[in-house]
Order: sequence, then structure tokens, then C-alpha cells
Amino acid sequence: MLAISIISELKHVQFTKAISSLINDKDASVKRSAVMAACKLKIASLLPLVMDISRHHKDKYLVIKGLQQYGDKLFEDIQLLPKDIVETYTPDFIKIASNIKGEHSKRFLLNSMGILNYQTNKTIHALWIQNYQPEDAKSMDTMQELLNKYLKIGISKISDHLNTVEYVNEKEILKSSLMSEIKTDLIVSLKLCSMIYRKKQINRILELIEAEKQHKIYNAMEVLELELPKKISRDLIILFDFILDPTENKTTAAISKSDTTPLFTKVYFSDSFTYNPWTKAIVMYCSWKNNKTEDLKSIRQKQETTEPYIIKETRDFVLNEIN
Amino acid sequence: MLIIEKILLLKNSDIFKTCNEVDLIDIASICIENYFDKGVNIFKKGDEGNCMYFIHSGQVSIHDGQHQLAVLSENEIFGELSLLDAESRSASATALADCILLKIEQDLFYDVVATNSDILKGIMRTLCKRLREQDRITVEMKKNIQ
Repeated sequence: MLAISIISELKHVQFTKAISSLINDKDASVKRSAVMAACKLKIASLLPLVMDISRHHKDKYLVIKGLQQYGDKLFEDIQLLPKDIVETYTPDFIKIASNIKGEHSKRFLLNSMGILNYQTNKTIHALWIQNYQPEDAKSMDTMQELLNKYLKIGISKISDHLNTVEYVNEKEILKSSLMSEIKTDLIVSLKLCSMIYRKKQINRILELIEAEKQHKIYNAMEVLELELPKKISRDLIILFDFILDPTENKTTAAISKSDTTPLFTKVYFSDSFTYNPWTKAIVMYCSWKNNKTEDLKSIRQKQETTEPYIIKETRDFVLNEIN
Repeated sequence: MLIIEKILLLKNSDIFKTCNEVDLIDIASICIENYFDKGVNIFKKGDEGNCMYFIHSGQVSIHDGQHQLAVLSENEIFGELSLLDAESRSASATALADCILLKIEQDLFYDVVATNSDILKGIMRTLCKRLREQDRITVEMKKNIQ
């Protein structure tokens, strides 16, 4: 233990072999120190070994914590890793990038924004944390496109929230998860607005949401109308209004009427990429609690290699229960 | 227990109730299920505190020797401050019935919060609330004494 902590303070990488042999040590504290030393010393050749530990749930966070110490260079060095390893651990790399500032991590985040999925909100958050501002027309278009998508997705989830009547059992859990989704879509949209339109007032609104100062949010909504294009501010205000008062009114009733796709179909088929792992798992769990056997059978074959463990575990459980 | 069930249990607790469910996936994945038979000592006063427990089922007595301080049951937590500091246990805990507990170890918890500060924000909110409540009680007591 002492030797490992001394090694991790040395600037010359002479102990790669020693660290490598201790990374899989049975003693948890030795393993912990070895992972930290490998990351602190930025030993690229040990990255596959370090990433391999991530396979065990218990050690996943130790690896992320260690890789945060690796710094921006990590995002240069992972390019040397096999593509499948990078793909598998992309959610973790995005998480790490939000705690690191630098050109390599920024480039990694921009590249991973290409395909919209449940991690895109984390990528946007990481870029916002890095004070990213789109500089050319292409990146501005990408951000604008994402903003339009997030606003559309958020509004579509309002109808999900209002259309949960068919889920009699565990309805409140489902509603709470959809409300969380709408709130996340609103926050992501505001972060995109902050990067696109470069308005400091939007960051102030984000602070108010974070601090849950609801009475001040009403004033903030007026700021949106003044500072942003009409269509964008209108959609943002629909989301704000629903979060502050999630009851059916003229606007939300119209939204809900125009979107008749069943929730299960949206979550697992048509809009699968827009829902987070918790909502996906909870929709599966609530479908089981409400005897929606046919819905559950339809996802028997729909298994992705990179899906989060919570989804895999819930699917295995409910399918086993309905058999 | 499924991760979903662990999250629902965590969400019911005072310490994690303001955390987002998506963030709690990280905490749930480091929760370890522990089984204790009736009468078994879970920890003793003076032991090094390095974990907290959630009661999934059963009852736990918190006591100092023969003096019972509290009886805790389903959805309640104990030893939560041990997640944040390394002080020794201020009381003992014994299973009053067969128990299923979820245990979170301090080391693993620190790894998670180092990578997800949103969880810490939720915990800080809860601790602030407790501190304010404690301050309010202290002020009221002082007023009563005067």
C-alpha cells in the first residue's frame, strides 16, 4: 500500500509492471491504490486493464473516480483503445468529461453528440459546464437541431404524463418518473439556449430551477419571452407551466389529444432513445404490475449489448415472471 | 432485490428523498443485501462506523447497553452519518426480528459521489433541513428557559 502510494507520486513511469500486477489484487484497498496510481500517472498501456475492472458494478465508480484524475489526456489516449471498449464505456467517459476541462474532452463530447440517445443530455450538460459556445455554422446548426428535438420530446412527454390512466397500479411512480423526464428536457433545452444564444439570464434561470425557487421562476419565464425567439420561448413556457402545475388545461389537453401512441410503444419502439434508463425500467415494471403481458412479450427479443444493467435486470425479471 | 426496488426503498428514505431516481441507480448498484437473524448484533457501540443500513424488512433495536433508544422498522435507515464521517458508533444495533437490510459502504459511497455531485446536493439539502430543524428546537428551548 505504502509502495503504491509512493509510486503514484513519482513522475517517471517505471513501475508499470508492478502496478499492472496489483490492479487485480484481492485486497480491495491495494486494488484501489493501484487503479489510482495507474490513472494519476496517465499510463495509457494500463487503460484496457483499468477499464476491464469496470465490468464489476462494485468497482465501476472506483474506475470513474480514478479516470477523472487522468485528466484531459484520457480523451486522447482512449483513441488507442479498441472501438468496442470505447463504445461500451461511452456513458462513463461522458460522465468523466463533465468533470474535466480541455480540448480533447470537448472534442470527444462533440463527436458523441452525433446520435441522439439517452446520454445526449449528459453530453450537453458536460459541454455547458465547459462553457462551450458553437463557433461555426455547422456546430450552431447541430445545437439548434438538438434544441428543437428536446423541446418536441419534452412536450410529447406531457401527453405521456396525462395518459397514464391505463396503469392503475404504481401509477404515481410512473408519473413521477415522467415528470423527472420533462424537467430534464426543460433543463437540457435551457442549457442549449444558453450555449446558442449566449444569454447569461438563462444560467440564472437554471440556478433558480436547481434551488427550487418556484415563485421566482414565474418572473424568469417573462425573461425568456424577451430574450429568445418566439417559438422557442413558447415551447419552454409550456414545459415550465406543466412542471409548476401538472394538471390538464386547454394547452396540455390539446397536446395529449394529438399524441395517441401508447406509452409502452413510445418508450420501447418509436421514441426509445429519448427516455432515460429509469423510465424504461419503471415502464417495464409497471406493465408487469398491471398485467400487460403482450407488451412485455414484444420486447423479449429487443436487447441491446450496451443497454444499462437496470434495464437488463428488469427485463429478465418480468419476462421470467410472466412465463 | 431488483435495482428498481432498491431505488424505491432509497427514495423513501430521508437522506435520499430529494435525489433524482436516475442518480439513485448509481447508489442502488452499490447497495449490498444483508440478512440478520433475530437477536443478532448488527454493530456495537464503539465499533468503527463505515457503513449505513436501510431496513427492507424486519425490526432493529438501537440501544446503549440495556437502554433502548429506538425501534426501527421497514423503510427506515440507521448509521447514515457513518457514510459521511469515520466516527465510532454511538449506539448498538440488534435485529429484533429476522431482517433484510441494504448496506452501503463508505468507500464505495465516496467513489459514487466523487463521480456524481448531484447525489451530494440531495444529501446536503436533507442535512441542511435537519440542521435548521435542530436550530429551531434549540431556539425554542432557550426561549422556554428564559
